[in-house]
Amino acid sequence: MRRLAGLLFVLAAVLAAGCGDKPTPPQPPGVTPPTGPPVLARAPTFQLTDQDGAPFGTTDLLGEVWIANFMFTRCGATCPIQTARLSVLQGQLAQHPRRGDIRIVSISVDSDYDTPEVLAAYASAHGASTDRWRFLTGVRRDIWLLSTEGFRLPAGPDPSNEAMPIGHSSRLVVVDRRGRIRAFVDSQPADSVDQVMAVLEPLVAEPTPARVAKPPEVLDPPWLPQRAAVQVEKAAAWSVEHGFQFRDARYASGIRFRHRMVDDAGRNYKAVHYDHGNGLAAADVDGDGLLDLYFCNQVGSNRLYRGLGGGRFEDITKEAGVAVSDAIGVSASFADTDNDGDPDLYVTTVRGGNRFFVNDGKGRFTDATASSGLAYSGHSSAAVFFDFNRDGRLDLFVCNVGTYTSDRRLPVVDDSTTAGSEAGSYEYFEGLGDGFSGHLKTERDEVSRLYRNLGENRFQDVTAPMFIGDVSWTGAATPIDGNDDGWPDLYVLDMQGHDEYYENQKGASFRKLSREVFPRTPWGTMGAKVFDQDGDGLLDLYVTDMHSDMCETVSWLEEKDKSNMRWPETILRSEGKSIYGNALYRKAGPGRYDEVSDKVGAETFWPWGLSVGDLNADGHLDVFVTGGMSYPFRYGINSVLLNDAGRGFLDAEFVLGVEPRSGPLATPWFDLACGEGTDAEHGDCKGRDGPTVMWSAASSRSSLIVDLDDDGDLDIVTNDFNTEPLVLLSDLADKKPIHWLKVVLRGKEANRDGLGAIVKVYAGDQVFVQVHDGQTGYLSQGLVPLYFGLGAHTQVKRVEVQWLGGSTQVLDEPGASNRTLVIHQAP
Amino acid sequence: MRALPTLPAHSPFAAALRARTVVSFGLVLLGLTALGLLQAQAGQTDPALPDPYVVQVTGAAHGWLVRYPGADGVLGTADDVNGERDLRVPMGVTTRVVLHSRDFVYVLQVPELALNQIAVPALEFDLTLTAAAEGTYPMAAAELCGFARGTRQGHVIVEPSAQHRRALRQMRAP
Repeated sequence: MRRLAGLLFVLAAVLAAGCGDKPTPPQPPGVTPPTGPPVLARAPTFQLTDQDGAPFGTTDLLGEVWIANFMFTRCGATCPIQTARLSVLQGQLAQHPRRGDIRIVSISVDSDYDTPEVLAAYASAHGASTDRWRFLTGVRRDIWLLSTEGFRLPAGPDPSNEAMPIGHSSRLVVVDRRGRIRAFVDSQPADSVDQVMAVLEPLVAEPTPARVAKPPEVLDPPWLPQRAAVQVEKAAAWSVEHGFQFRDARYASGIRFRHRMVDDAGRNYKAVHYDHGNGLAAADVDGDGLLDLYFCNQVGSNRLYRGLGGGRFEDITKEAGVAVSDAIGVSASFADTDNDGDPDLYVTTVRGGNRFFVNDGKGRFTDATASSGLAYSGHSSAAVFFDFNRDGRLDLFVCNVGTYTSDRRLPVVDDSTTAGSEAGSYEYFEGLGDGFSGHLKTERDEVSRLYRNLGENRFQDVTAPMFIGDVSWTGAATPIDGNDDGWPDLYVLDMQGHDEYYENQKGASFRKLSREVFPRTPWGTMGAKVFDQDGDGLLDLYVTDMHSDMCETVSWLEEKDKSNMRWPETILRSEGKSIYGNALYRKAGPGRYDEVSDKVGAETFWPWGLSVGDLNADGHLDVFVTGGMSYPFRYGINSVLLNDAGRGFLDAEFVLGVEPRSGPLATPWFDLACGEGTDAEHGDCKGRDGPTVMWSAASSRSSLIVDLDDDGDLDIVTNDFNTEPLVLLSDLADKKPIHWLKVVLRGKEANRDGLGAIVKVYAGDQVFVQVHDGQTGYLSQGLVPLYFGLGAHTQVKRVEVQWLGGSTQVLDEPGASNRTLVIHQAP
Repeated sequence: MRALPTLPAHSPFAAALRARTVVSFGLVLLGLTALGLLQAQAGQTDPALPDPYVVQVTGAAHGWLVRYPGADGVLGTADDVNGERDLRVPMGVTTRVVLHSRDFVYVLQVPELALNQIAVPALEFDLTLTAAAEGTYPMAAAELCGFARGTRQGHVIVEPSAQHRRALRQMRAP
């Protein structure tokens, strides 16, 4: 019998290995490699609904060995056999000494029919003990994708079977205590239960890793329900449109990107700038009229996803040649630098050399860094394309933070939390433990760079001659015509001190007028966006301040307040002139702004950057702000600020389904071998023994608002830190008739993207104004259509485009709403 | 040289002289002590402690290391006294605390004593305090921008200068 079990184990292991695509990853020091079947992949995360109507997902399964299968109750083909086998398995497990560590999860691929009630009846009919054998349902499309993309098992329509037109796999998936797929076992052979048991034995014997969340509340923040309830209650009195929801459609989108961090934000945590994460960029790279998305990564490849329409995407990174997997990435920006009608790409990295890629018009890129003059290697952050000298060629401002790393290279450790990540050996420069004092040490200054576009993809560093040698610890900047002279000025954010404002001297140089125009700025700024917040036709400036919120812990009740800043002036160095929180500068005239953030409710907590768009299509621009810090901090929310007809903002993230975020609020962060292991001295091993999986709060970094699924309303996509992005689709257009106009600008021969143009849309007695600057989110950028919500107006009377350079183009009576208007610059 | 006359040890005059001397010495001592207290309350120095009294506090591994001047009254010599976690300061003595860090950026904050200063690797910051009353106040080694990380809680202990000197002697003892 023992020999038979051994043989079965070998067979199962061989079978399992044949289904996988990746060998067991290297183990971190001190972590004993698994001795059972090899690790095949990381099991996907999911959150579904069980037969009792309760939420159930992967966080409920961690630490246990589990067997998953896909089935549906009306199925007459393989499902009865699957369920019969699992019934037998359940019986055997009931006798198992570790039965409390093993679960079965049956997921319905026919969830429209298989409601919790139907599943409960099915479970009862088959004698399932639902404590250890759960039946799960959810959105059918998402579950099919969970099967195909997550578990790598086929699922989809089966037209050949009229009675039961759903096809799915009959395999049983065996997942270990750390959430890793260890075997696929065919359920149809008579000995399949023996095979499963043979695989289970060594997995059950593997030590149970302790799941340690830091801080403990991140697994289930106790304050979230209360916060949600308060917001929903308030919303009952709102007149602003809020009767719609966002739903995370990441599976359905086909986006499989998963951000991976360097270890300085995990096992080697230190308060340094690596935890600022990465950006994303958007443009139509192949000219097919559909938006494509580029996600930046720290460890592993950046990823380019080609839009397929309807909110679906496919990964074309390899063909496009823009992986940049040999460097720790930061941000990306698209711009048609050579005015040939397609977007080129600039990617920044941490000391890995920034990259410049030229597009061939079909979405294939050539690395032209060496010949471009853009080869900079340092601690770069966002990159801003704008035409500062209005010569029709887009220039580039590269924000450099400052030296926050040492010269010591550290390997990135693979462990169970990175299973399924891109294979490869990666290194990064160790972050300095005193990174947040870098602005006190002039030797760590890193001057941001202004590159003048000379044409034909050649650039010249004109930082010094243009008098814009900025040494702020800056992660971002935005063009802004502060004095309304038609020349783009530049607002440079400082994450550790005063922001700076450089007035453009008609393309000849820049003049620093920071305190003259903005006497007080937020101390620790990350994101900025120029837009008309109050609908008066003037372009305001909203700036988010993350670092001021890092001075102390506060409860959710205090998140709408400015920070109670207590750091001494020796670190602030801002002469008492800082704002310790977000700022909203409402424009009062040329060179004049009034700071009204508290008056309009613009404060958010732990904000990174902001994206602006008319989420409810009512004609007033709303705001999405990414927030949160991850390990070792508590959970922080993303914020949605609905614009209340220009009067102020209403907090609406819970009302609109953005929070609590879909899926788990926390995610595995890194493994430790505590006790006798080599991590015994790690701070998180104190008082712990054996293998330990540290968990952290999930959090977003960058964002983009755009109509991802082409249904007429605006959606949101993020790049999150060390986990999967959010792809939040709005159902606004399904809920009510909406009116909108999308405007795409096409410059004439020069500045083909039309960056810097101001567009005014006239509808009824209203005028809607937006600037086309490509600015969105933290470290992010998008060449996306301008979206004008028109409220109740079904007709657009007139559109004006004030092109950068002075000419104004007027389109009278452009017609009905709900269409995309492509405006070519008049000769 | 002519020898001074001596008195019999048990003569009444000698006894009176001894008593007067003791009283005088006592009065002088009392006066000096009172003066010392007044000086201390005025933020001046304890004659037994160097002026200024300089103490070094260094952030390391989320805790504080504290270095006091030894018997020579000079900080940075072989007889310095090393402590950790707690910062002891003599009551009423103007004390300059020099802040360093070996690893991270720390912020030393004791609002009760209006202390608020940073400790940064490779840089030196300082603060000055003159505590008028005895007391013990929490002093965490809080990491700037990393407050969620564990810190070792210490205290600022304000104590009479004599007690302070005794405490240092005990810290120095093997």
